[in-house]
Amino acid sequence: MDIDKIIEVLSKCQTPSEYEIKQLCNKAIEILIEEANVLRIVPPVTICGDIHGQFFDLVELFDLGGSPFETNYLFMGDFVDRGYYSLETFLYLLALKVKNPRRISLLRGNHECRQITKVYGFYLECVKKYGNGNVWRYCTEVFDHLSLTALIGNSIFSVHGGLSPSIKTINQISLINRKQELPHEGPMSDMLWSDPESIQNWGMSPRGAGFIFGSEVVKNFNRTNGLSLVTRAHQLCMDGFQYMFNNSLVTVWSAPNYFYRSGNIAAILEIGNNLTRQFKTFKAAPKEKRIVKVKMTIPKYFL
Amino acid sequence: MESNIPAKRIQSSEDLKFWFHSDAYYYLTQWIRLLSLKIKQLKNSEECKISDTVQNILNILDQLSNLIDETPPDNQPTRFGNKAYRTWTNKLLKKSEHIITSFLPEKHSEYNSELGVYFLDSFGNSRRIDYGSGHEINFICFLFCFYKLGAITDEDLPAVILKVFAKYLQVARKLQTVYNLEPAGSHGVWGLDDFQFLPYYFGASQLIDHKTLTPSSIHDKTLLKENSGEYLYFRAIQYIHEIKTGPFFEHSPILNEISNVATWSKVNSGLYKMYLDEVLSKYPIVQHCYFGKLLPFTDEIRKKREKEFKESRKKEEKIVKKEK
Repeated sequence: MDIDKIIEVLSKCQTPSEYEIKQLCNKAIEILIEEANVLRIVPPVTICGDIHGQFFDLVELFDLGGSPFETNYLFMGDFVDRGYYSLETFLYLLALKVKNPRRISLLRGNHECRQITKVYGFYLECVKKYGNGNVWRYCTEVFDHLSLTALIGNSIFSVHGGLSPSIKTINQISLINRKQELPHEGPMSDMLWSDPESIQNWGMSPRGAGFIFGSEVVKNFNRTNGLSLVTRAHQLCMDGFQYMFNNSLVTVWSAPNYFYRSGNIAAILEIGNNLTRQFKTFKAAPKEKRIVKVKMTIPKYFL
Repeated sequence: MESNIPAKRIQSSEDLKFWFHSDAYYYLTQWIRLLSLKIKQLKNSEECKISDTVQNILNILDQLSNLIDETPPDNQPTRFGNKAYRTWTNKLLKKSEHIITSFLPEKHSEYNSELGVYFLDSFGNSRRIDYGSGHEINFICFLFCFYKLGAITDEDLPAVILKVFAKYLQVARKLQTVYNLEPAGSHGVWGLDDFQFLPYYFGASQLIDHKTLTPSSIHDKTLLKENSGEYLYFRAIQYIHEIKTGPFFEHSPILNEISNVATWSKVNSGLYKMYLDEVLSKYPIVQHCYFGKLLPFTDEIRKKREKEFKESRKKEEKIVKKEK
């Protein structure tokens, strides 16, 4: 497998052959399978939120944050669904990971699973681009191997969704068997589905999966685990990021102008050597940089 | 013992096969087809019979709209949606008892609370400050309940869509824009629309065999402006232009492709199939659907279907063995 060639192709938002994708996914799994449920990351690192197939906005992100060959990145999941380029986005990040496994860290989001991607666009995109579901299958197998959380410099905890009532200490996360389709309930599901809310403790989530959790939950979790901050994604932010609970938790969102209507900006969080924090924000890529080359066709229902 | 209060019954994707065989699924799908049939080739301004029951719903929707005017967006810091939406919802809840008891005539008043569950969940989720096709389903279920009880009859059906559903859409869109509601569970570029589905399905029926307007007419700005008052489909497209940025083919590719379909009749029938496949078959949406006495999906039905399903599998296996 020529990883540099694959990266070159993907960097232009083009897709490699089905065979190359299979090789890339197999290689990625070899790397991911060795990674723990809690990735240990030494700063500096730049933390990013949801991308949802917005490839050209990912390019803007790299322009702002620095080349992925020279800058450490942690992506907190939700690479796929909703946008035009879930495949190119995910495979590009995967190829960068394979090229430099220590530099690029990828976490699983609630969209990185079979059930959700069959509904929200990734599956359709794969079939449209390759005529069959094979590349979707290869990618969903990779999803099963993605790590769940990260610990940066022992004091910043990162996860896609949020906390779980079953997880009081970070050590408990290591006991989870993550290499499977995302379950409907349990700690793995909770961590990828939960949301912080302005309450004190736990509540039922209106999403139908995970929970909502409040200020006391975060305070206790941070104190028990010696943390200064929880970073997460999973929810759209008008300003790209939002602090809660006296700056002990922050949502980072990296898909600008979501749905072409939200008018939101996107953000990345740069963690420096001394665990300093700096947010940088960016807008959607301008018209000239966005190429829509996906040839949509009349849906089968109308034929 | 089954409770009268509608509850969510679809708890896993395995439950979907029971959902497809349920009375609720049958009623709902036939209901929307019937509504589509009843407004075929009719404009919004068509003179319809408006019964007291229908007029009452219209009045209630007007009240909800006024409530938005009385509850302007606030300046509180927010992640995305405006928190004044929660204030609006609380005001609605305060009024709800009065509203709910007015729905049905005395003889059916025991069902008011069942209708209330559907009604109150038709306008978005106040915790998440969002709105999606699931809320639209609830409003359609709400309307179905009247029909099931005979409080709305076939004669009322044109008004149910052309007046009531049209006004519901006005209220929903006002909520979406005033409070900046997030699209709940949108499929992005792979879906029809971030917020609604049925205005397109019903709207296409209005336009069947139209003399001058074709599916591609949606691209003509003048035609769009001239016809958005009379046709749900055109209004829906116009609304998208109001809230989205960038070229239409980029942000709404599915609608763009549908504009290449030859006739409105094909658009209408295609959207029905798409609705069944993309909305009613998807667990993330139907997990939030409510089932009560009027739209039943009881454990008895579920157990009965499970038993029937097992028995038919046994029969199939016997046949397979015999063939071997």
